Amino acid sequence: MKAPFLFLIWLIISTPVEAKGQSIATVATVSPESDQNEPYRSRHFMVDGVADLKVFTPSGDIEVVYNPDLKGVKVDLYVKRGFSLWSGSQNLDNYRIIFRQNGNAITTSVERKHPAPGRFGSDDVKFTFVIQAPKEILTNLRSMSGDILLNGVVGRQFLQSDAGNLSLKNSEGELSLYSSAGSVSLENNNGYVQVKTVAGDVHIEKNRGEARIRSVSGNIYSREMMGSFICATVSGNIDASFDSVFEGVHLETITGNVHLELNEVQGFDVKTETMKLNLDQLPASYISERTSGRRTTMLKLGEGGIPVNIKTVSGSVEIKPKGN
Amino acid sequence: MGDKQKLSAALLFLLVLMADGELLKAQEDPFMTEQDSLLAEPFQMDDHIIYITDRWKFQPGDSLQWASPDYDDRAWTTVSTYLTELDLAFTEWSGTGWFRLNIEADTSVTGRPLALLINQHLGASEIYINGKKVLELGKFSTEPLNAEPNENKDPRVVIFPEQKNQLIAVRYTDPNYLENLELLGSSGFRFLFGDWEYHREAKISFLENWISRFMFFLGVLVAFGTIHFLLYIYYPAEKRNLYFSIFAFFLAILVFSFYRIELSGTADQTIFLTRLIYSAEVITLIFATRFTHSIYKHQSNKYLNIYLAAGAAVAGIVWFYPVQTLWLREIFILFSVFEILRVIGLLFRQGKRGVNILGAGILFFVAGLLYSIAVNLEWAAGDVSMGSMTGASFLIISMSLFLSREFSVTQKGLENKIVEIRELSEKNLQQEKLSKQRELEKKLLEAENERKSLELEEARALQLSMLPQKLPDVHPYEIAVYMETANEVGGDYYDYSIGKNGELVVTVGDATGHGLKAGIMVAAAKSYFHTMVHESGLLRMLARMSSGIRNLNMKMMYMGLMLVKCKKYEVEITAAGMPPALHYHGKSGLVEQILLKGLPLGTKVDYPYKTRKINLQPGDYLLLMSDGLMELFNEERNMLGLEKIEQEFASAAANTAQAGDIIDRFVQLIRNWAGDLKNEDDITIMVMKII
Repeated sequence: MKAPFLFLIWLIISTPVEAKGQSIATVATVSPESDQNEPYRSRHFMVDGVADLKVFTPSGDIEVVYNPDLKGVKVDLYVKRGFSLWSGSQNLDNYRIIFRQNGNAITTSVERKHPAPGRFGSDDVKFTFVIQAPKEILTNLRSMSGDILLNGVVGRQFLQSDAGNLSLKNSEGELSLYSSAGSVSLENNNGYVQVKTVAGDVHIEKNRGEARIRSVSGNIYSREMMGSFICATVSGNIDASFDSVFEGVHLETITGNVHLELNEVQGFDVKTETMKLNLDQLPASYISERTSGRRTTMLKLGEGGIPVNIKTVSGSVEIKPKGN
Repeated sequence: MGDKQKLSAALLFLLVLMADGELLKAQEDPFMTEQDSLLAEPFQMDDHIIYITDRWKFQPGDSLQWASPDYDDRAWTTVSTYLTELDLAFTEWSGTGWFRLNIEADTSVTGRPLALLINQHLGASEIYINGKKVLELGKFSTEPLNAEPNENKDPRVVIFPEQKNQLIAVRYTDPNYLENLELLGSSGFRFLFGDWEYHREAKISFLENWISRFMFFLGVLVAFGTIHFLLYIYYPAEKRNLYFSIFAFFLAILVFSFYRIELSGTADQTIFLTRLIYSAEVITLIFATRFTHSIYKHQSNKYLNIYLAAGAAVAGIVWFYPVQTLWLREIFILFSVFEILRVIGLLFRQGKRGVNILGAGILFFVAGLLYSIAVNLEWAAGDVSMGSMTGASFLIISMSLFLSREFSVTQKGLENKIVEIRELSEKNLQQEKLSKQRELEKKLLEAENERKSLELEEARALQLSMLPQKLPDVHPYEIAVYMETANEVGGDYYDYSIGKNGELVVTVGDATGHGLKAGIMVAAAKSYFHTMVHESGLLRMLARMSSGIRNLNMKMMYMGLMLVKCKKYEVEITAAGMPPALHYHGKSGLVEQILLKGLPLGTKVDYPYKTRKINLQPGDYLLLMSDGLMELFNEERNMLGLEKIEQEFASAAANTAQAGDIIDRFVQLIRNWAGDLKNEDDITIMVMKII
């Protein structure tokens, strides 16, 4: 019943979230889940060096954006509260809200004081963190059910949400994103990326560097990738497209299909293990060598050199040149 | 895909990964060096908490060596101690594992008791500090059947040794991890540290306030429910008591469940109590609505039955599918609240007596809810449960007051009816008593009357026996007589006597009054008449009779008497207190009054009576009568009068030949005049025709 109402409110008050041009004013508009104009709690943490930020919320979103005009870390906590007619379960007294700084280590956390009903019961209180951060920062951002957005930072980043979606944009560094049911979106990042999902899909675009992706049932999509790519899924499909590959590509699935686009400018040594291999889109001139076994096919594309391993137990594999 | 399937798939995936050395690298955790600090500074926080992270090193399996501070855990993964589905998604987890957390402890927190605060702990565990076991929560066992999850959430005391680097290792098992992951979304624990003194006192304070308030409220609910249930037991026709008591009992169950769930330490308890709360909310509202329906009696039974059936179905569905049917529960609750308000509104419009009590209760209840909402939203300070409980208390009291008032009104009505019935009964009894008394009196009277009637019959017989058995047949007279007494024994008298010389003396008398005394008077008169009729003259006879009657000392009893001595056609008449005799002259057809004034016999006055002699002619008639004829009343209370008698006498004498015919004409006249009225005085008519 509440969803349509919230959707209408969201339509009215929200504005699209863009990855660039952040300012304080922009930040204030990117809190569609908050029903407060003013933060419930706000604190500006001054740091000497690189801040190490830990954020945890049981329900609600986390948004971290780069603010070039800000020294230190500004954390705003917005609370969206429902109400309980009887038990007071939505009362903030039931939650432990911590804003803590120990040197450069900053912890902003909300936890229930008593066991949460979890998915068995409803928990309508949402604690949304909106954080303005310097360019260089170490983050550990976790939400049990909300979305997490991280934009325009540099450093080691860790994002985890059980049910929400994860979005990481315009960042550099060691980037780890774990999701259970939500999808993961990476765009225009540079560095080492590690993603784990259970059921959520992974979208990765314009990523430069090494990406390691694991999923149980989610599909994996990549576009305009530059770098190395290692991904595995049990039942999802893999759809990967590369502008250029640095060290190699490893794609593996049990029951899903694999679709791979490679740049003809580069040469590859491809090893596929599948019952069905489709090379129809590859120009014959691009296939320098081809050796086929019962399940295994070895290909040398162009001049070869960069290893590409593709495995699927029951799915199909299609390889074609980028842009077709 | 279900959670179990996901876990199986993850396991399969891991097996695949294990076979591929290339991907093993992907399992390495990027935050192996994460370390927390244990500082006293956080004691300054409101709730005296020392925060530690929930992200600990984790390794499934079991080995006591893992408690050692020297053990190298760098290869372990870092997960949240909550152990969510995501934490376990890429881990081979069978319910038992170890957690390790290295922390740096400030000297201000070592060597002193700290409170281990248990936010969540769904399984059983052993807690080691620097390799030494210091606590056991629940009963730890690697055998799931032997492990007993911790149910005690009270803070526990721990003391860190006075050293900088501390290792906390938790040997943890959750025998119900699959169910907990499915229903609660996690399987692990969450520890924090805090100021021991503060948290111990806070716990005691919490229990004191919480328990005392809830127990008092529970007691109130159970007491009200029990009272009204007993009222229903003793008077099942009043079903409102039943609905109210069930409402109160389920509200008590709801309150108790809220109380228990706050103390619940295990997932089983939490799930059971949550089911109970959801279903009890529905049932409570069903009977609150049914209660209001029972006050407003214009609702169709079909509608009520449909509502009850729907409510029961919702309660059942909510019990079995509490998560999936939250929307159904909310819709039903909203509908029920609306229905209660609608019915209350109708009752107000209907002007139902006492509904303002209910209205006030609901007003307070709503105020309590608004207060709770305000507290929830932090617009007001206070305790949500206090607002709810106070509002609900007013509602309960108002409902009970309403029922009590209804009961009182009914009772008063009954008492009034009883008083009315008692009064009516008393009146009836009095009436019956009076009636019986009257009946008795009537019977007595009847008996007396019967006796008197018998006596009067005897007296009448005596009186009649004193009247001549036959009328004289003495030439030239033809005589006819008519007598009608007012009572059984009349006071009129007529008689005759024939002397040795053929002299005929007739008499007509009238004793004052009627009945027995009159009868005696007649008897005396008859005695005097027959004794003296031929021995003395008429005047002397009257005088002697008057004297004799006076000597009888019958107070206020007198006797009127007319004597007529007839010698052939010569007649001598004397009278004492009698109406005039009427003489019809046959030749002229005229009626002449022969009026002889004189007091009745028996008075103390020696009245100088007179006589009058007249000569009769054949064809003449003489009419002697008592005053009963003249004074005969009709329905308009008019007396017959002498004039009508004369006219009738003249008419009858002119048109008839026999004396008896004239008597018949007078009898007819009497019937016509008096109608159904009983004559109030004796009537005696004697007609003498001169042949």
